[in-house]
Amino acid sequence: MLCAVFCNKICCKLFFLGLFCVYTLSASDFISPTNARNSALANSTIALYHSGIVLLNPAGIAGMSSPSFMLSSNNRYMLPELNTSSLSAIIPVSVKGTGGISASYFGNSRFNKQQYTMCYSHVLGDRINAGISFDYLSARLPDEYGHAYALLGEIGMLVQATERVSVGVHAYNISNSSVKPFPDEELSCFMAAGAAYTDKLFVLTSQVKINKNEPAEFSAGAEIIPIKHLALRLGISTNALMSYTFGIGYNLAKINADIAFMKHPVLGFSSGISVQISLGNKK
Amino acid sequence: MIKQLFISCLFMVTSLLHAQNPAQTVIEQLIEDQIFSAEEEIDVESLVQELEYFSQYPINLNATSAEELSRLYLLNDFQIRSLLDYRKKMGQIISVYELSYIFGFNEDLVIKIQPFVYIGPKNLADSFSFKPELKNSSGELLLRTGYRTSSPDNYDVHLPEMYTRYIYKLNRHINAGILAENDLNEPLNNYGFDHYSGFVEISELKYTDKIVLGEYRIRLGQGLLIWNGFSPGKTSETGSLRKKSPTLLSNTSKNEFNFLRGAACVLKYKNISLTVFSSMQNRDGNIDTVNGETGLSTIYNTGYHRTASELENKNSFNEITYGTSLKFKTSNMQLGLNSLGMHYNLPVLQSFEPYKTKSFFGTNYLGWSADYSLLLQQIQVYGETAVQNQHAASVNGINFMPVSALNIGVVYRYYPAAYYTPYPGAFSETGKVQNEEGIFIGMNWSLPKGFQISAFTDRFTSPWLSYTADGIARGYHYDYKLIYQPTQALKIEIKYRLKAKMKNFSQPEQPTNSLMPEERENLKLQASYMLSEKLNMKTRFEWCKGNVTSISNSNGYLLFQDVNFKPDSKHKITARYAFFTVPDYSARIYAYENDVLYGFSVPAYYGNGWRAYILYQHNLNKTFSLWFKYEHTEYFDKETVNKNGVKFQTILKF
Repeated sequence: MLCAVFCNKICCKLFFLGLFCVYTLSASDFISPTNARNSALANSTIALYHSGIVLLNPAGIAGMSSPSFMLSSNNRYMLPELNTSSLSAIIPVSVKGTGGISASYFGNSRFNKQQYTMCYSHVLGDRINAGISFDYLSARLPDEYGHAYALLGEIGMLVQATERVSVGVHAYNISNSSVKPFPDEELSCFMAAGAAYTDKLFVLTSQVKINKNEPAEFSAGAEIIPIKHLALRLGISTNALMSYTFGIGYNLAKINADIAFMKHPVLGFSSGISVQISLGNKK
Repeated sequence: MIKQLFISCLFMVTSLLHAQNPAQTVIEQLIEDQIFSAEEEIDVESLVQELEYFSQYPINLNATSAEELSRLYLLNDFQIRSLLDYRKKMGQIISVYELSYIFGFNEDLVIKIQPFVYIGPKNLADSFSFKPELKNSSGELLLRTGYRTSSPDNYDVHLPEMYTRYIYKLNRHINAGILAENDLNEPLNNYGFDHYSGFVEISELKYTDKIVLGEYRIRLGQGLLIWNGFSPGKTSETGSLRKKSPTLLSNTSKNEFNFLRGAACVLKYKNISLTVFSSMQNRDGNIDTVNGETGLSTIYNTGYHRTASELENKNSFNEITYGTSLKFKTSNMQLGLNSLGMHYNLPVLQSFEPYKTKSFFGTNYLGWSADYSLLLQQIQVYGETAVQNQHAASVNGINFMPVSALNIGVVYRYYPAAYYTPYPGAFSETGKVQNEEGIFIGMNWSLPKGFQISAFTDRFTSPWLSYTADGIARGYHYDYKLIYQPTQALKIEIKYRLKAKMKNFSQPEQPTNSLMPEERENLKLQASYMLSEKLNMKTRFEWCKGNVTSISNSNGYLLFQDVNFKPDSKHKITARYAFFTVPDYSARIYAYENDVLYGFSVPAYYGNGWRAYILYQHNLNKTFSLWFKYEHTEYFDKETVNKNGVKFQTILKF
């Protein structure tokens, strides 16, 4: 709707094509599934526990005592063609081990990309979680181009450094895999580290990410809980000059619902929504 | 009794101090501070050797002297004086925790020096003998080998690095050592290894403080004439600004050039000491013939003999060195008169390159210097002035400690282009004591609640032409550091540095070079956190901006995660995963790596890729320890060859 307000259909398509060229040529994310809490905090939640998603730091899900499911969707720049949706499930397999699976979809029937993720996270000692994740990325390209795919691995660690400070580290695509059968089509390959300060009434998050051949990206976020069950979020990131994000979360015992809005300095607004349902009591 | 009660209270108050920082952390900080500042390669190895030595054989605080304490590079003269005064007043120190209540000390400093000191009984005077002492007699045999792939690979021979060293301490007065070493890819020769070294040291006799036969190091004054081994450069740790070291040290390092070979002794009578030394050794240099005269065009200080040309330059000339130093020393004052003479069997050739027209040439060298140091209540002044070739060089400084938590240091140096010394060690920007004038101001302030701020600024000028600048080159260097340590388990460090210096810039359409500033800017964020007594971690992000003559900037980034795991006293594992994206060498980032004992590694990260290493230490028993290190660097760009390395070391103590 908003797209129609700001530009007519042709203009929108041209813009989309231009953007898409940039999007596929750089070594950027093949597909970028995320959840709305992470989006609202400007992708700075690497050091948060139980962030409820398989798709961020794989160590983040360790220690969860009950299964949970999450459905999330995000849309870039209010363009229906740039929608990414994902469904993920987290299943505790032992007292210390947690497994997770996720499926994400981007695009339309003629051109689409999918990501299937399997991860396992383990609690080591009292204060360390370590996780490993495998992603299968696949793209269906129009007619003559056929099919492209990649398999990559991720490792992550989450540490409770002090009572309130946690530190997260995440290495994505550690083998520097590229898309087959197009070896020149490079994939993201990054390492990120961040810290979070968690208090009863607020959470502060920060993160730095180094992607190969790109400048480092800093992001920081703040979550405030003014009244019970409600969270207000703000974030800032140096991604694309300077992006601002904000969002709201509504958290009940077994259901979390979050929405997020992101403002890109040139390309405008993006949005995201996610709903997480927990089947037992949260740890 | 009262004192013991007081001590037990201290134990309760400072129980957190049990979270002892290992020696490696201190060494890492010292090296990383120095590496960014130093333009030329610094003698990191001897710094590591010296501090590792004290971590293996800590200083007994109840028996130590000011001279020995000064070798730690961690204490300033105010702190050393108050420590010795305290010991004199209290009789002896009972616990290391007492130290944080002495003027000039704080908990942070106590944690820093803790790996290198211990509280032992007061030394009883004993007479000299050749008998071994059960307690003090010890031998240490070190064997090390390692291999690392090289890129580009220009070597005919591919051999691992080999190093073996044996040090034997008979008693408090006598110790001796021998070492043999072959660098990576150096061919073995008729004598076996490439480099041999050894010494016998006799110390603490009645009128003879020390005698060394074999290889030794001489450190005079503030390093204007001669300073063998590591010399601290720019640092906000203002205690290191005034160079302080014993005049004579035996050489236990495998460094192949920064020592003297012969005999030296220090004679002592009350407050006066006299050092006399003489040395003769073959050194590496390139022999050339210019205008019919054969002589040395370059003197090499690398110690590498891997390729045919490096081997050709090995031991190509002979150097005779001799000198004296007369020192008068009280607890608050020191005066010294020093001399250094040298003779080469081949002349150093005069060069007619414009920047070298004032440089040293000929076969004979003679230099004189006088140094002083005066320690008042809160102010210390010190300096040295030397004369060589009718040119005077001078370095002078003031240290000021108005309150226990604040240190301020100022150093002014003036080194003319015509002044020369073959073994420089004085405070400088380039590592040479030549063609430099500058003023340095540094401070270090410990604030309440675990905050610490330190900063320095240095402005310098080269009054004559240099290799990198066809004109008068100015420069500046700023360095700011904030440390926040709310608990012993968490330490956050932010460091910002900016350094700029004028350098030649050639443009195709211009016949002469123009001078442009070359800048390097660097930001470091680091969190170190201790999860338990067995497990330590560290996360660091570093950014470096290199600016080549103001034309193009390149930004380099490094992120790494360190894990130190020590499940018990027998095993220790250290590992790192580092990810870096650094487009070119001007934005390179240095990061210290843990290594086998007495070894070190400070790789310069540049390119695009990741680097990981794992170091395993196993202490089988008191006699036998071993180390194993494996490292791998993977580059994302296909043109750069990946690097691998392994290192293995054992140490036997008996």
